[in-house]
Amino acid sequence: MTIADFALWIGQTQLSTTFQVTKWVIPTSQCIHIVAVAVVMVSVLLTNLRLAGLVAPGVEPSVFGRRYLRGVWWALPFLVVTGVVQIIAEPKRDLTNPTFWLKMGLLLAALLITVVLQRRAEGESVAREPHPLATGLAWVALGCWVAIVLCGRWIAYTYTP
Amino acid sequence: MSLHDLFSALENMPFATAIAEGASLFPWIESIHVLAISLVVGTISVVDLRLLGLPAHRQSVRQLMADVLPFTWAAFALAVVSGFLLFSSAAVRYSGEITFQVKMLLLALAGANMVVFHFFTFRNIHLWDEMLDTPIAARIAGGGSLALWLSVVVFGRLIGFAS
Repeated sequence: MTIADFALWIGQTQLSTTFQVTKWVIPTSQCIHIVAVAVVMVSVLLTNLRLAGLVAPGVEPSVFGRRYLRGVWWALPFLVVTGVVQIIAEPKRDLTNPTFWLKMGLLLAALLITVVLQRRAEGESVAREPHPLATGLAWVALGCWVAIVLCGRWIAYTYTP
Repeated sequence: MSLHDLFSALENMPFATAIAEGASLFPWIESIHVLAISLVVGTISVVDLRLLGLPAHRQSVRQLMADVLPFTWAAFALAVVSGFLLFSSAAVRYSGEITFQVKMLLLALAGANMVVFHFFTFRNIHLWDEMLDTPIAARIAGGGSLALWLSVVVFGRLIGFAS
């Protein structure tokens, strides 16, 4: 079974049909998805800005990591659930779309980097400036999340019916 | 010149028609608009949640606002510019849609909430700056701001479905 076959199968299920004809399902899931993205973006942005020394220089970098990076994990279930709803509602648009898979690859990379940074932040008990590698990783993660947001919107435009 | 004439003139300007008729300009601008909105809502939420009594990376509300709000304003500026460009591509149609009108009203209310907070509640911030148990006026401002900005997100998304 190819991905296209799998997408076709999902599109023929009762759940997919219900999601497509119930007008509020897709807009509601997209709105929740955007809000969850906002939670992730601010978590990563503030942590990254502190690691780069661009905000709150008097506050330990680990405080930012401990306070904000957990926001990524809080938002992730909402992103997954609403993302799955949208895939079920429009399976071919997502599963056969290279932009969608690029987004998933970037998401995996961003989450892996977040795990590394969060473990580092929670392991630090003294005030010290972050290692340049941590700062570099934080910028890469932020870049990944920006690209994820852009890919998310472009899915609608790169879909081949 | 009526508003309709003004919007019609706007959408017939070269940059507006380029956005409307080009294959990739509108998607790129829209993507940047979504990114900007997520940053506005995300950063303002840190301040709003602090006003509601939840801790942030700093105890002081004033210092937290000094840390975060410059980025909120930068993201908001990006959202306004990208939003204007999107609007200009079909100004007559968007201006007539109820979802767009409600979004603009919500933005105005969010701005008014911010002005009221700044000129009234913020004036005695020295009394409650470091307190997690913030005064009721601060909680109303924070809760109101959160509700308004989340509503902006909802109606912004609904514009796409109305179109």
